[in-house]
Amino acid sequence: MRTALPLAAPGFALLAVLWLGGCNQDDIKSYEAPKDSAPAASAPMGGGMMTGNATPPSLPHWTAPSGWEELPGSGMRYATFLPEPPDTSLAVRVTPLGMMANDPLSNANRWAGQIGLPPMDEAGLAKVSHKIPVGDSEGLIIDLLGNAEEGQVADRILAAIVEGGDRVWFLMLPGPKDRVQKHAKGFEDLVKSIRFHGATGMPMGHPDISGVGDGMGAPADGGMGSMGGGMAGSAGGAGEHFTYTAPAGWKEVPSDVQFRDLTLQAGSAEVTVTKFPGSVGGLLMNVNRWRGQVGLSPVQDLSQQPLTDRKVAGGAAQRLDLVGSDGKAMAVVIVPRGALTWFLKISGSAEELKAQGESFDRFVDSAGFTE
Amino acid sequence: MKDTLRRVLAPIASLKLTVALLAMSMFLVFAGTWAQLDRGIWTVLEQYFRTWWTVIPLGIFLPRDWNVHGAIPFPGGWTIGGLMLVNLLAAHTIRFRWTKDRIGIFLIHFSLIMLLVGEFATGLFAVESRMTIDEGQTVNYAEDVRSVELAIVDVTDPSQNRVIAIPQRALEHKKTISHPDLPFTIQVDRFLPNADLVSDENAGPSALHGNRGAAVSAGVAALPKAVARGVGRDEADMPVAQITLKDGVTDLGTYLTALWFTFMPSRGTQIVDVGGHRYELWLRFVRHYKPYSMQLVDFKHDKYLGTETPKNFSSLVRLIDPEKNLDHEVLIWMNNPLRHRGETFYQASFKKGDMGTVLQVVRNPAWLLPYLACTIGALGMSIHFGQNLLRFLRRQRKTAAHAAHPHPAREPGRPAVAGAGAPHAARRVR
Repeated sequence: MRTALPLAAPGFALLAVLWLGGCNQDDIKSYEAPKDSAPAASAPMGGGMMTGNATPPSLPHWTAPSGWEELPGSGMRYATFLPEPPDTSLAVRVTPLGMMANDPLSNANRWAGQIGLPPMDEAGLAKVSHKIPVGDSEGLIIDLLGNAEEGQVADRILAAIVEGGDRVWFLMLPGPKDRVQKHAKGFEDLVKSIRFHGATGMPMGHPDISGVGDGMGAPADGGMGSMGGGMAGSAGGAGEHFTYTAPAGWKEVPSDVQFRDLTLQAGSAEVTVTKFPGSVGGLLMNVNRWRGQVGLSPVQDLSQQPLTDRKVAGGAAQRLDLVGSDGKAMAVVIVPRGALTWFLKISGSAEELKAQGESFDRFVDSAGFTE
Repeated sequence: MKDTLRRVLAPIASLKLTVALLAMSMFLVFAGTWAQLDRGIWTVLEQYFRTWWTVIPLGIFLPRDWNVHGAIPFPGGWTIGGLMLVNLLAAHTIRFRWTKDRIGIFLIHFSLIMLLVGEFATGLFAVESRMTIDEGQTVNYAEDVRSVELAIVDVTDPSQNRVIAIPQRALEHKKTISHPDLPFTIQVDRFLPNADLVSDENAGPSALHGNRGAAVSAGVAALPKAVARGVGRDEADMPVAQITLKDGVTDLGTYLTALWFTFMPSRGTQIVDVGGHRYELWLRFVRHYKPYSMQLVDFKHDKYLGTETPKNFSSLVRLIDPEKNLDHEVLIWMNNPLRHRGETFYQASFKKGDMGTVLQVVRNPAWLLPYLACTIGALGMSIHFGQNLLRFLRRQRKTAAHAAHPHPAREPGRPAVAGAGAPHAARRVR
């Protein structure tokens, strides 16, 4: 009597091999890998965030004033200086941006908004700024003295704008008036000492700056409020497109601002649609950023803010209406959708926003999100 | 010896066990199907089928608003499938015999064994990943977007990186991780399978913070979030690991590593300098580097004339494989994948504005087994039922001959009517 053992034995052996083969899948691996020279495949959208084949930019070198400590950069910040180490509450932040961000007046006005100052014109900027030599070129120092409100920590911003290579470099020292004043000379000395060389010899700890995009605003508060959106790919709503019906008279206009999905011209007002990953630094941070943009001072909590609940595309959303002291106004509808947050914003003069109010409501009502 | 083997294997080869296992597998498939109301297919696959043991909540069979609690432990797919395989092999060992008449049965059973082994091998060895390429870009790795790894990347060497990749499972279960290629140990303070990044100033007490790196420079903290169910299109887990690096007793800092940071590399780069080496810390999708690279020459998204209805997606890629001396263009389009080095590249998705393509990269060493199994099974059934048909026809002829020339006595044990042999044969098929 012959059994089917010849068939069964290899079967049992195969089972054992499979069992053993599958047991080492959780090991730590160590391997050589080529340098990343191209956008991460994990960011299926917003690939413009990185400029993989960009020529290495010229990088700044400097001499820190005596007693100051230079910290390694990280994230978008190229470097940080502590004038009173190890106290990190007062720090000079160095951030590079694309040349499109080199607009001293708009940057000055945004910083002014952050410390409760009204927007200024060119003449106003000239009063609070002066040029200083930086190597063979020159930089612009902007000194803004704000009106301190109770609980507001920073009421002075000392900033410098320096062009170097293909980028514009922002150095910012926000803080209380007296403490900033104490280090104003050191700040100017630091700016004057800046020299730009090639990408070799990068300072220790600085991050890759090749991904810093053009067209973004200058750094505001170090938070994520202006951080890269338009990405997230599979990470929730990755492939979602914004759909809408434009009210009569509105016109879509091209925009090269990164992370912006849509720009519309509504009379003299501008309507924008952007999306960002996650909760974008929290509502308070965003509200204060928008308040700054219409010339309002920051707030400590949201209890008194004109936030209203509403629905957009069947989901919960919030709307914020702001009117600044200088006649600027803004309405923002915040739409969280999965891992992304969408912002539908109209900004312009208070009169124009009043005229476009119903149209904006219809626009928001028409909003949809499709794959 | 053979008798001992027979005594040991007899209960394992039991036909009752076969029936019980078949019933259990049907119940598991039933439960797994209902579970997909609440969980994505991959989660269910891992929780119910590619596991030795599972716990089936009773509530999955009932309306969710009834809020029925309680669960039953149940053998997972691998246990049931493995036992079926052992049962079948044991039956062959002690019960079945090689005869000419049973070739069909053997082939059918062999195909079943191949199917079971094939799924087992697929579960263990198959890798599905995704390659995202912008037009003009060249990429040499694919990503598994269903799990993450903590990659410590030594970027000191200007020509190439050394990567120490710690899998998600190790982050979930191990407290302290060390490796000969790392000059520091990694203490995993906490791993969050899903988290939001929030401003650290109003993050609240449950948030995770870092004292170095991107979390500090960006002013963010991580708030735990419920794990995505995987059934909605907007849902995806964004893990965060809070880790503390230690060089001996020296604390090198606590870092937040977040998958979010990979989407914003200009801000998410975290650097640690130790012992003359520079390391970057990334919590990223698991990467599989390839010995070849792909460049996207052109992506096309064709639509039916006058409509927005997609007609075809195609990617013209340049495949560069120095080891195989290959450098040529290949067109990948729907249902026409590229096969290269044991991997299959399917046209899976595309980037916004048709600016890039997303290819699904599948490596499955067992991909051929189901095809072979089905072919062998079909052959086995053809032989088996063909033999029965021939037997039936022979008997019918004999019956007709008997009718023409009646025999005084019918052959004992033979059915009196034509076709009665078929059920008899069918009984022999398990």
